Amino acid sequence: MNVINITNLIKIYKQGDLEVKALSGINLDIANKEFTSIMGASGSGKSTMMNILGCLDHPTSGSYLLEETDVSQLRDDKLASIRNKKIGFVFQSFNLLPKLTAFENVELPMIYAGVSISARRRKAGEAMEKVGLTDRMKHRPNELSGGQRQRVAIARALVNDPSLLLADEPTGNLDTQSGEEIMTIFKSLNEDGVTIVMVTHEQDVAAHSKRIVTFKDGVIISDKPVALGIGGAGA
Amino acid sequence: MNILENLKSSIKNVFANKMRALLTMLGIIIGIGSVIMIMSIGAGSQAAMNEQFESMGMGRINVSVAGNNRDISQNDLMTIKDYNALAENEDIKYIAATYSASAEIKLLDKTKTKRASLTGIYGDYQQITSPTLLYGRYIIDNDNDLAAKVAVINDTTAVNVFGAADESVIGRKISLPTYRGVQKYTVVGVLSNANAAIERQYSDQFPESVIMPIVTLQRLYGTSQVDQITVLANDSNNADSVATALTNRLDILHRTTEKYYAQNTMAMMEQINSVTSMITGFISAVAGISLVVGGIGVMNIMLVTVTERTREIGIRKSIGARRRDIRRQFMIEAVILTGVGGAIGLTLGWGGGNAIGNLIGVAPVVTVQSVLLAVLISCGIGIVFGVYPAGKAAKLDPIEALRYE
Ligand SMILES: Nc1ncnc2c1ncn2[C@@H]1O[C@H](COP(=O)(O)OP(=O)(O)OP(=O)(O)O)[C@@H](O)[C@H]1O
Ligand SMILES: [Mg+2]
Repeated sequence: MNVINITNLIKIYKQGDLEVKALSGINLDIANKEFTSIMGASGSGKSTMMNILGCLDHPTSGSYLLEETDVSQLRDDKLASIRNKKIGFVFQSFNLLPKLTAFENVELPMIYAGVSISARRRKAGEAMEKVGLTDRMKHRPNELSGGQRQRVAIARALVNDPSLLLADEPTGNLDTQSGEEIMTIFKSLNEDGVTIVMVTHEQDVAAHSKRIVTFKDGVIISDKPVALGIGGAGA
Repeated sequence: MNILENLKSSIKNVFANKMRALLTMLGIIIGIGSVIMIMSIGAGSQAAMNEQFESMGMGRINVSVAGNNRDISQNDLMTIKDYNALAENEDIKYIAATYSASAEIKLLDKTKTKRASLTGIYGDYQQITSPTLLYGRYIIDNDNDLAAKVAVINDTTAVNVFGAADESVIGRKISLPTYRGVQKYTVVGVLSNANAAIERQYSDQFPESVIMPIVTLQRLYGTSQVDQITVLANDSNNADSVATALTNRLDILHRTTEKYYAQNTMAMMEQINSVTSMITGFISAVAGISLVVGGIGVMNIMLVTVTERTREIGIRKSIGARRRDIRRQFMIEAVILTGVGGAIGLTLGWGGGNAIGNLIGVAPVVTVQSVLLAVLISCGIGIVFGVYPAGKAAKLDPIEALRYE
């Protein structure tokens, strides 16, 4: 079964009279349990793609089937529900709420999902354990390192057991060491069966995935598996 | 997200910046505070006045001739005959006739006199006024039959005239120099003066008070006139209709039309109450304008808050908050601001009411209704002025909100 089916997807940004075609006809299928990297030059449409995949934005035309339901033209609140239950999103800039503790940040998606307090506590604890941060529960984001913040963000993304984990340059703000740690987590999550789509500029990071899709000027110019055992292979 | 957790996080957000929260609430605090203060003083003075009326006897009706002296002919004047006629009315409990005059009374220092108000009474005057008899007895029917030269005075007058207010006063005589020479009346009773406290302070302004049989007083002035008939209705709620029956009866007896005027305590009280309510209401409404100003202040700060927290809203939306989740969060924050402001205003208004009440000698009354009203109004303001900012927050586009710097 495909988690993602995208057919002829187009996204046009309108700014007054000016039209920017950020995506011009994307066709992309992503199967269950795949670990895909999206690469490409700056401005090639990667983030635009991710935002649509993450149901944060509507495509201008084309269809997007998420687990075989068309979500391309759903209303706001429907999309919010999908973001809440089916998608975990990890951002380059972490996007944690600064006034909440790490634990409370991880709890938040479950609050919107209506999970009971006891279940919430348990699952947030489990998610924090998965990312190795059980000793940082009560810390606020500004009391954590970049790598730790990103791990909190991953825990938050995972906590509602989504079908899809999206990450837009998750290691972009991190040093190599922390980036490696994040990739280790992603790999083990993928081994546990989580479908991951990740944007990155770095070959080394992409090498951790199993498939590399390359964008250029809003179209896909290559789509290759990562050769086993060869770090840095691909486009 | 359940309400309790919403409340907790909202309280945290609102009071993260205490100074700003306080300034935002100021309009509401002042508005609710002044409304509560005014209403408590208003209710307090109303209660005091009602108490006064109740001490006069509810359902008390004073009947007299209407109009000024020029309009009144000899035929219109009331006499004991009218008293007897009105006494037949079955809806009345007590009836008394009075004739009032004023004269000079000799004081302890015999060279000095002071103004005295003389009240000639007939019938159930004692029952209607229910005074406290300290010594001796009250005027009785027999005194009228005999036109006895007896008088009942109060303790203040007793001290002023005899130098003491005790048993020894009974049997002594008061002297009233009149145009018919000095008249002497034997004191048969001493009453407690209900207004003693005030009269002692302003003793010059208050005349001495002398009560005597109406017949005795009428003889002194060579008249048979009764200038007021006072009635206590069986049922105070009927006072209005009893009053009408009495004046109609008098019009029939005297072949006049609407010549008689009945003043009833119940109606007077209602009238005064409605006036105080109106005044209180009006001043409260003026004070209430600051509530609108306060509401606008809250809206303003909520709009600023929404802008400041655009990124937070974006993050919340990106992890699945729906419009209604965001709207509810900001609505609750607005209602907390105004609700807490209202509570502070309530407390300050209460305290202010007590302070002013102390100053002007009124015990302020804060009713449950006014507290509920204050709470409802302040929360209502939060809802009314929170809707727009909360709606604005709810409608933010997640992508744009996330990009907001
Ligand atoms: N909100 C917007 N309004 C107008 N144009 C936009 C908007 N967002 C993106 N674009 C344009 O769409 C194109 C694709 O942008 P996008 O952010 O998807 O690029 P990207 O591949 O993620 O680049 P980078 O690697 O720098 O993050 C760019 O030309 C960009 O200017
Ligand atoms: Mg990008």
